[in-house]
Parts: sequence; C-alpha cells; structure tokens
Amino acid sequence: MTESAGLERGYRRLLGAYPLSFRREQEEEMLAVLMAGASPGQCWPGLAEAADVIRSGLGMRLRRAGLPPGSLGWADALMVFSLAVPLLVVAVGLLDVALPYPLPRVSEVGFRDPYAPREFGGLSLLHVPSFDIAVGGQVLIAVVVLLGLRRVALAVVAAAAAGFWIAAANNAGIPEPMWVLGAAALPLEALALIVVPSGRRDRWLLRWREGVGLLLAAGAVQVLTLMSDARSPFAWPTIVLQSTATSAHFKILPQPGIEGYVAATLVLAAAVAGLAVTLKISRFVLLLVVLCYPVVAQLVASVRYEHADLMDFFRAGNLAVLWLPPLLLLAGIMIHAYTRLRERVVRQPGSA
Amino acid sequence: MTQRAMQEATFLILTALAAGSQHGYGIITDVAEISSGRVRLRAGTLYTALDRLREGELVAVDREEIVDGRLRRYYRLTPKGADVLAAEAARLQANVGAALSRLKASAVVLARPDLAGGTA
Repeated sequence: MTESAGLERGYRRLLGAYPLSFRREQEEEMLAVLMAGASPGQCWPGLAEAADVIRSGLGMRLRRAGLPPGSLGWADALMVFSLAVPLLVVAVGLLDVALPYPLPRVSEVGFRDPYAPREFGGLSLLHVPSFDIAVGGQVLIAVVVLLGLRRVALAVVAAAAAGFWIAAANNAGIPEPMWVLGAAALPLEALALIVVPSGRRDRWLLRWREGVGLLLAAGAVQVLTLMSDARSPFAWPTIVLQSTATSAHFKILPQPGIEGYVAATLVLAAAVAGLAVTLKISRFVLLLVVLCYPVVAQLVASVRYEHADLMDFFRAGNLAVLWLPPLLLLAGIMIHAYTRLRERVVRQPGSA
Repeated sequence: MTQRAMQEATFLILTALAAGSQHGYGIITDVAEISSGRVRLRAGTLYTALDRLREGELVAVDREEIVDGRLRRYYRLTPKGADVLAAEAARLQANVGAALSRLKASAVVLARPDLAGGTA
C-alpha cells in the first residue's frame, strides 16, 4: 500500500505539468489510468512514462494558451472586448484622478510661467465637464453592454461620440492620452458591438485573467502619459535613451525621443505578451493593444514633431496613422470571427 | 476536419471506440490488441488525443463511474466521429487496394508472398 501511495504521489507531481483547467476536470481520471498501467510492486513512475506525461502536459498548456487553436476564440475575445473598451477608458480616467503627480516648482524648471499647472491629473479633473462626459458616457455604455442590450448600447455609443466631440472641441480640459483613447474607444466599441452575437456571455467570459490584462493595459497608458511629460520624474527612461531637446515648450529640459518610446513600448509589449501567453489571454490582449495603439501613435508624434496633434481632423495622413492600422486589424479579426460563428450556427442549428 | 491523413494513434482510438464506449485504460488495452501489441499508447499521448477529439466533437463523454475508489470516465464515438472514421478507413482501404494490386502485378519477388496473395 505504501508503494502505491508513493507511486500515486509521483504521478500527481508529474500531472502538475498540465494546465489547471485540465487538472480540475481530468486529474483523477488520468491518475487512475496511470495507476492501472503500472506494473505490480512499482513504486516510482517509469522514465518514458514520466517524459510522456510532462511532454503532453506542457503541450496542452501551449495549446490552451491561445496559441492555435486557442481556448478563447475570436468571437469570444470580441465579446469581451466590447465590454473591456468602456472599462479600460474608465480605468484610465480613474487612474488620472487617483494618481496625480505634482509638477516641479518654477525654480526647478528654470523659467517663470505663472499659468503653468501645479499637478498633472488629480481631483481637479472632475470639475472639467468634457472629462466627466467622456468617463460618464463610458460608464453608461458598460452598464448597457452588461445588461445585454446591444442595440441600446450602439445608440449610447453614438450619443457619447457626439457629446464627446462637442465637449472636446469646446474645452481643452481632457488630458491628452485620455482624449485620444476616448476617441479610439468609440469607433472600436461600435465595430465590436455590431459583429458580436447577441447574448449576455461577456459577464461570464470576463474572468480575473482578463481583468489583469485590462489593468495592465490601463497601466501602460498611464505610464506612457507620465513618460510623455519631460517634467515628470517618470520620463527618465525615454530621456536616457534619447536626450535631444525638440519641444518648443520646454527647451530647458531634455525631451524624450521617438527611440525612447519605441524601446519603452517594446519592453511593455513583451511583458504584456508574456503574461498573456502565461495567463491564456493572448487574443484578448491583442485587441487591447489595438485599443491602445492610437495613444502610442499620438505620443510618438507629439515628441517627434514638436507637439504635432494627430487628432487634427483635417489631415488625411494623420487620420490614417491614427486609425487605419487598428481598424484594418479589427476588421480582419471580425470577418474571421463572423465566418467562424456562422459555420458554428450552421453546424449546430439547435445549440448555437 | 481537414483532408490531412489521420495519425495512427487517433485512428486506433476511434476504432477502439467504434465498438462501444470505453474508459481511458480500456482504450489503451484495446488499441494494443487491435494493433497486435505494436501500438502501446501512453497516458499522456492518449489524453492529448482525447482532448483534441473532444474539441473536434468526434468523441464525447458517455458516463462516469467510480471503481475501487478511482474515477473512470467513459468515452463514446459521436456520429460525426463515426463519419470521420469511416471516411479515413475508406481512404486507407483505397490505398491498401492500390498497393496490393500493383505489388501483385510487379515483377519484384516478394519476401512475404502471403501479403500479395489472398483475396485483396
């Protein structure tokens, strides 16, 4: 009996190679098969058997990690995305309010500007009407999407877009990344809502792993925001990597350069991608990256071309840089997901 | 399912289930029997294959039993699985037929005349 207990312990340890989702359902079953296959008196898993279990377990981890064919299909990822878009914008807005950073005093900067703001972000943002409209609109969208009212959600997206543009055109109070993100979120949200099938599955699909991805993405936007301001203590990675003064506004301080952003963004992307594979959320995270792309593009452009604003609506080139890559990628994903969904519906008329 | 040839282990697992539902260890012993002891499936390989087959809806869980305090889950072939197995068997049979008829007609002397003779 002690022999078989030791063997069982050995097999259990080996089964640790399998992903948790598999172990939860099938560990006991597979253990029974392994024990049944053991020779009498055997007290340790055989070498070949152990290698086979470890290889198969790791293979299943990779397979379920969203590498082809993933556990979370594009249609599901889009469904999560339609809820994640408003949540991300709200998260970034709340981070702006909750984590203000004080700007250095006049003497430290080296010149006098009595109108310069004392801090970036903070509670004062709540008094800016356009900020309230941007964040409040997204909260409303999130609630309607959660209730499964997709048509109403589309109407709210359209209304929020109109309100957002009008408010933003009349008030420069929205922090820049928040402004770009808000403008990116609405069309992407509308596209995702149009293609995802009706139903209320998002709530069940959005697990803690997706929550981690969402928080990481919101954090990435915040980090990019802080790095974009040369006065910020967080700007040093970009300043170290490229210290040419190009800004007309703060010539005294070294400004972050485009290489710095590219390097910092690559490091962030690698970290997020690594986590995505480990936590099985690769498709979802890819969509989040799509959502954050305009923010990165805007920040790179504002550093490269002395406060160039890609949100300037009258330049087709700017619009293409901002919106074309994410919209093309999203359109491709949606066509793919839509055809797969239709196949599924045709194959199982009753259960889909 | 694509037109790609099926792996032998997959083919033998489906064949084992074609006679009726079986649990994991039952499949392993049955596959060894079908292949005259040549294919000895290991548990890891079996469950990787079963995972794929369940995902492709070729195989489904039939029932569960507790025997001697251990969980036994029985798997059965789905109608889709039976179709795929039949198509694969027909494909293999066509290949076998072509090979045997050409061997019969060829001038090469076979080391095992029993293979070329018979009723193939």
